[in-house]
Amino acid sequence: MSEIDRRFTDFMTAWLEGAQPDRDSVMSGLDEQGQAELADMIDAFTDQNEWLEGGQVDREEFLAALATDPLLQRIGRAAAGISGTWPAMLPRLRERARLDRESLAPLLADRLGNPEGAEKIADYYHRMEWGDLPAEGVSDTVLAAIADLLDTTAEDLRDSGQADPPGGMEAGESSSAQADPTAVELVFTRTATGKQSPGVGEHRGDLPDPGDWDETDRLFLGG
Amino acid sequence: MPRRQPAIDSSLIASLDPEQLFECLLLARDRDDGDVASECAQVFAFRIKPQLTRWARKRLPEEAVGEVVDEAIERVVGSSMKASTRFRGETLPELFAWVYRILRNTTADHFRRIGKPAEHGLTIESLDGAPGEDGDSARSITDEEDGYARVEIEMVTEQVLAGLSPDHREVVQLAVHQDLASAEVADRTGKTVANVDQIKSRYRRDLRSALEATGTAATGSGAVPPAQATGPTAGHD
Repeated sequence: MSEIDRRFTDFMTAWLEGAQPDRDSVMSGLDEQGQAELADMIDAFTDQNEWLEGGQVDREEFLAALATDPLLQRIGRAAAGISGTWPAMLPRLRERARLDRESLAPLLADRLGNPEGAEKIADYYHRMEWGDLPAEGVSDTVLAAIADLLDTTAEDLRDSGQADPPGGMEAGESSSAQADPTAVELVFTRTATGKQSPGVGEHRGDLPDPGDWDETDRLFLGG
Repeated sequence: MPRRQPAIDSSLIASLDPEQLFECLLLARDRDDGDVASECAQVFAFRIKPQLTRWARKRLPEEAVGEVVDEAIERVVGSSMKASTRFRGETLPELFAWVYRILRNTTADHFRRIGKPAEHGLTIESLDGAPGEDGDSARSITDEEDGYARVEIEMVTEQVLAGLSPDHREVVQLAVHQDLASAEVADRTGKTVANVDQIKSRYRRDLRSALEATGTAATGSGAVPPAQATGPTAGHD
């Protein structure tokens, strides 16, 4: 933790406990840049902080936002998927480049030297945006081509595709011990009357076996 | 990850505070529960987005706010899906500091991206519209041409910016490095147009002097890099 982060957390912890921490003291010894940064953090935290207000999220407001804010849908796909944050990152970059998915696929196929394979490449790209394609199987060649089209770097794409594989923990275990275990554990209790959670996206069918791969399959599945 | 599980009670997720939502997201992925992971991430994003947006609106042109905030949230969720980068604190202030750091890095990356060299950069001569003292025409530095000079220019620019007061720095970032009109900068910052012009002029003069002192300007090169936001730079936190 940086010095500024440490001072910030100490200050805010005292503030949340009802103490009246002194801003001048917490700034003492920092250069002008550090003071500005720390002040910025303190102000941002205390200024109209919905986090501090707590309480139940308004379900209707949340569902309305889910229907209208693409980020929420994409983040959901990313969190539930196997492609890191590609479900959020790729559409965002594509929109910045003013490219719809239908336009991008043939361009990507051209860059991969396989214009005839545009349809299959489009399907694989769709899976990347849907979080259905194992990120580790996508080759550097494909990432470089996509990076070129979307004005980013293959390294950033590779990093964004990385995520620890889901699974590997038994019910009852916890990856950390911070939050109230009762409240969090209750979430995993299935009830017959509970509403279906917002859809993450349909699974788009099985991937071909390695023995059946063509060159396009190898580019998107072979790593 | 399995996505067809018996329905969960979404009101339970809606009742979690940000720390709990984060914990729930991590736990859901660890347990390979796609439905819960998805909803936890969505509710977490829904909860934090307004505050991050307010912070970004004070520092970015309106048309950039949405993308920068979305990218920051994306990085927060992405970092949480890797053991090497996930949040490891224990308190709400620590969580906030971690998210805030990612937002600042994302903002810095945005400024860096929009201020790319060559065709997007400013030359020293373009600071005040006059030809250089030595009469040479200006040229922009590209990374390929003179990486060392570019680094030196960036350092000098950062030093000059660091010497400004926070509100003067804001004016410079909006007016000089984001190329907004003085009237718009005045509107955003609450200053008069005359004051904005004065701050711009003083910055350009100080920057020119500083660059000339390093000898960079004398070579005839002088791409002015974008203002660097303070704090750690690119990448996930």
